[in-house]
Amino acid sequence: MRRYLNKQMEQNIDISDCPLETLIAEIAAGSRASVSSLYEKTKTAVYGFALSILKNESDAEDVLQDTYIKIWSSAGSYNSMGKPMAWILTITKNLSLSILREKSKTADISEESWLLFSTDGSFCETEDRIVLETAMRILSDEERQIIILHAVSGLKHIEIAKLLSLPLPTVLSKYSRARKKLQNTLKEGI
Amino acid sequence: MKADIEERLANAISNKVPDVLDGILSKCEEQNKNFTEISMHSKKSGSRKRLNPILTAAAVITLLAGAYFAVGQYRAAHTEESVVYLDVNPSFELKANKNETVLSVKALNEDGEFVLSEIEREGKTLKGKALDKAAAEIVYTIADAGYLSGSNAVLVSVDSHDEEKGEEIKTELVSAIKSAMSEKGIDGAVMGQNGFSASGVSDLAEKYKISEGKAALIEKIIEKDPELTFDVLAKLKLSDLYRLAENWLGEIDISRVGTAADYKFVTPDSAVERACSHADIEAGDNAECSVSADLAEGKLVYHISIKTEGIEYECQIDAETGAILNWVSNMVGDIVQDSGTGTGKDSAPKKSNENQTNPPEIPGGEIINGIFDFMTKAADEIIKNAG
Repeated sequence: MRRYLNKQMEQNIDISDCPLETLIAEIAAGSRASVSSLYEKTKTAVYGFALSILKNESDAEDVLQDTYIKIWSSAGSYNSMGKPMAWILTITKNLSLSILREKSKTADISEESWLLFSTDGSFCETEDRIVLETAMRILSDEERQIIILHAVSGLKHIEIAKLLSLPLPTVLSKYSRARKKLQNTLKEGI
Repeated sequence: MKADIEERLANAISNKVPDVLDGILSKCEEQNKNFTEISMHSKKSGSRKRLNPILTAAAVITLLAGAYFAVGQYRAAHTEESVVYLDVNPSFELKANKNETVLSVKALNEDGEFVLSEIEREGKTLKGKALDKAAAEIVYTIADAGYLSGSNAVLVSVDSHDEEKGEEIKTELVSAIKSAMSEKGIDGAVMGQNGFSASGVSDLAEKYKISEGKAALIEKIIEKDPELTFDVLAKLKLSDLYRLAENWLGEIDISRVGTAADYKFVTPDSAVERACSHADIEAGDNAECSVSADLAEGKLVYHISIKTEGIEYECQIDAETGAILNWVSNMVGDIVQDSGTGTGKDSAPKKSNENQTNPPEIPGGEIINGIFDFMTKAADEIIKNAG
């Protein structure tokens, strides 16, 4: 729940978490339309987070699908605590880590698979693609997860810290470092 | 540049997201079908067996009707009319009949079990006693065992078939407990509530392993401020819940006799005001604030996030003292982390500009900052050379 000190802005409050809670409750009651709505609202965050963990589009796509199937079966057990996005991304994290365990992937992807990632022709904005590719290439696992979560999920640093089971100061310093690395690398590259 | 990099990341990912919605919906449909098939199968196999139980029940009712008058008096004496929950940190459930005689006493936690075992060891019994006497006996033993030293708050929760009767019982018990505490030389607060079963707290009570009375109190607090969450408040001691509830005692359906402490817990609203004051933000500014409650080492803390134009602040505030435990300013392109500028509940918070031009003194702070800068630069060098 968000509060504004400037009362004039109360009319424009974007309490984005409230509709998510409602959607989850409706999913628990069996509404497939609510699954669609929830998917449209959260797919970027779920896919981005999965991609930041797995560094593989195909696996991230599997996790994207499995996340919502899991939500469909578990919505009844969701305890309304005002943090629906954190709940959804926890499911995403657990599914991603299962895949990692099965495949026993190591930290950095090989250059060949990075190139495979980068030649997909679906991007509209070249510079956007470059930033994402750079993030996938030069950042450590935690730096990448933190900066992508912050960019796509709307979670605050303290919530990211909880989700990734990291201390808040660690999240803040890795976030800062990730930004500096990206800035420096992108400046040199342009 | 800050918004630019993350905006580009978000755009890139958004463009990349595959459309798997159809696959999701068809899997959901499959799961639904399987569930429906299982349910229908269970229904079918259950339906054949109804006839025999009906005949059997009819025979039993006939027999019972003949014995009804004989057991009427017995039933009245042993019928539960009221349930009372007593919470300090030991927690108890007492059931009483319409004459306010105790039918059963149950401990709801380990501390409660210890207290009941002490009562038994002294050769006393609570069953068959008048409700107010039994409650007083429990309070004597709790006091002797040391549970009522320091911060003293007791919660009495009554749930009766007759609401008016429940109100009477609540008043009697609050008075009896207060007297018992006074006899033991203990000054404290006794809170009372009546008629909470309609609020549907039994599932929450079972889930968090607390009494229904304590669960009902927590629900009342959360109603006044939804930033507070059940999972956090369920872990607080009753005295801390009392200090929080003190902020709304005139507004929530809880009566109180006596006081447990000379200060209240900071509410989420007050915590936000403190944080904004610390950041030098006033009511007319365009600021977006959010607050959430959490526990840190068993203590209630609030996480506050404030966004103004180009600056983001995050901090933690101790609900008991109002002190700021952690303060982070996120300016455009940079993160500046300060040490906690803790201020007591009675002193004015520092202004944010003071905070940024004159960081608080940390012993060896310059050395620590120097080491951090060196490590960051070294890491950047390594990465550059590796790339």
